[in-house]
Formats: sequence, structure tokens, C-alpha cells
Amino acid sequence: MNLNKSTALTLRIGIMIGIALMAAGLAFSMSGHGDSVLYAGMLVLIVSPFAGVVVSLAALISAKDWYWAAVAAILLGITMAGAVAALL
Amino acid sequence: MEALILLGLLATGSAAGVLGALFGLGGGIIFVPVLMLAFGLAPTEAVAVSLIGIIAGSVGASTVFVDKGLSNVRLGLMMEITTATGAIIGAIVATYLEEWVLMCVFSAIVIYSALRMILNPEKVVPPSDGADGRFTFEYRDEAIGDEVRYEVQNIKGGMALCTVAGMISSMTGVGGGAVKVPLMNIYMHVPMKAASPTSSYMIGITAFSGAITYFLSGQVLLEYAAGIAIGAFAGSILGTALARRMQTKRLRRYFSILLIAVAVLVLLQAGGIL
Repeated sequence: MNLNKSTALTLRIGIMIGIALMAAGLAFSMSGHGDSVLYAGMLVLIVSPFAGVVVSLAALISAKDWYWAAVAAILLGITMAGAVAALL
Repeated sequence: MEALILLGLLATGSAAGVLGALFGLGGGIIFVPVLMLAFGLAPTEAVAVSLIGIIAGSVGASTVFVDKGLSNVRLGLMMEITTATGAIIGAIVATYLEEWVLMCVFSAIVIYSALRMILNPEKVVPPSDGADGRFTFEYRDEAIGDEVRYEVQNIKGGMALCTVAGMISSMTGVGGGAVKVPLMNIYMHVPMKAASPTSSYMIGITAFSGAITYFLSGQVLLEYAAGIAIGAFAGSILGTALARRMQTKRLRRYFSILLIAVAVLVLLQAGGIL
């Protein structure tokens, strides 16, 4: 599991799905029915960077690269804590 | 939504996406004033839409930069720890400080960085004794057709300064790329061709917390954000193609000019003119 390839693939899947849904949502919105599709596309886009960090962590663990896996795990914890704190 | 507004959003997103991918900037400095002045959005609405555009530009550029090894994922993850921590601290202490003072400090740092980059040539430190240390990395520079190996310097100092960059970023609302790229390039001796893609990668992670908060609280104008995001994605793909082929010297020179423009924009905002 290559770190760069797996992270890039995750980001690519996220942005492709997100942009496709948003483009479809914009097209549907002309008829007044696009909000749920836009909402789904935007959610996929927003979580993509976070999903990238999760996959990076998995790739580093699978490579037994413990130092950098610990770095990714700490960042994941801080990012989650920041998001939860902002939501409260 | 009117077709003209959609075209305007796509164009704004594309311009910010190109600049973001080329220079490792988020584009918030472009998005927020344009969305407020040209599209009539309220400040909170503009910031929320801007964050979506920043993520689209960052993720779009990173699909290429990370895949090609130009974004240093390990270094990005490490620096993001202190940047995110700094952003949290900044959000807490921001209420005790005058915003215009922070904006002036930010502008001073950015102008100093720009002058350093104009006056001093890039200094890349090759790995000591040719060995592969923990902070030795490499990438392929397509402009020169060769592998570039480098050893990141001043890790602890760089991490500490990233905390300050995160604080300033969250206190002023201006993205951290304008501080992080010079920090990596001048102080940590990360080559410019790797520093700006690494910053591009980091920016999406930084924007995640703010974006998800605005999104789940229903403050994102979906159609505006979609227009900006689609434009930013398209622009970022164009920006990555330009960045990969551009000579380092030229990239640094253009980046320095852009930094001075960013500093002027921030000073205008601090003075209430923009």
C-alpha cells in the first residue's frame, strides 16, 4: 500500500464523486429539485481531505512506518477534536 | 440561480484554483472579498463558501501533486499538527486582540518573506553523506527532467513557527499558505517545487474543521459553493500542469510578487478600504 498512490486515489475518488454530484445538483436546481444532490456532493467533497489522512495512516501502518504513523494518528486526533469542538 | 452568476462563480473559482495550485495558497484572500463585493454575500456566507472552494482547489491539486510525489505527505502531516493546534489557540485568543494589528503583523511577515525570496536564491540541502534519514525526501522535477533529493532542516523551529502561522491564519481569516510556503522554502530549505504542493495538500486538511462546521449548521449557500468548487477544481488541474513545468526561479519570482499583492490586499482590509 503505497502512501502517495493510496492517498491520491482517495482524494481523486472524493473529488470526482463530489464534483459530479454538485454538477448534477446545479443542473437539477434549475427545476427546483437539486438541493439534496448538492448537499450530498458537498459533504463528500468536505470529508475528502479527512479521508485522505485516514488512508495515509492506514498506508503508514501497513508499511510499519511507525514514526510517521504516529504523526498521522496525532493529526487525526487533533482534526477530529477541532471539528467536534467547533460543532459544540 | 442566473446563468451569469454561475459563470461568474466558475470564473472566480477557476482563477483562485490556478493560483492556489501554482503557489500553495488557499484562495480565501480572493474568494471572500469577491464574494462579498461582486456577489453581495454577507461576510459569514462568503467565508463558508470560500472554505468549500479552498477544499475543492486543495483536493483537486493534491490528486496530481500527491500522486507525483511533489506534495511531501509525511512533512505535510507533521506540520499540520502544529498548524491545526495554532489555529485552535488562535480562535481562543482572537477575541482579546485587535484584528487590524494582526493583519499588519501578517502583512509585515509576508512582505519580509517576499523580499527574502526575491533577494536570495533557493538553498536546497542535499542529504548528508548521501544517507536516507527520516527527513530525507525526493521528487522528480519535470522542468529539469531529474530527481531532486533534499533534507529538511530546522524541523523543531519550523514546527514552532507553523503554530504561529496557524494562529495568525485563524485570527485574521487569511489562509496560512502565504506564511507556510516561505517558511518551508526559506527556513526549512524545502525546494519551492515541493513546498507549494505540500502547502496545497495541507490547506484542505486545515479547512476541513471550519467547512464541516459551517456545512452542518446550514450556513453554506449550496449553489454558490457548488459553482465556486467546480471552478476551483478545474482551475487547480490547470494550475498543477503549469506548476509541474515551471522553472523554480520563475515560480519563486511570481510567488514573491503574489505575496506582496496579498499583503497589500490584507492592509486594505485592515484599513477598512476593502
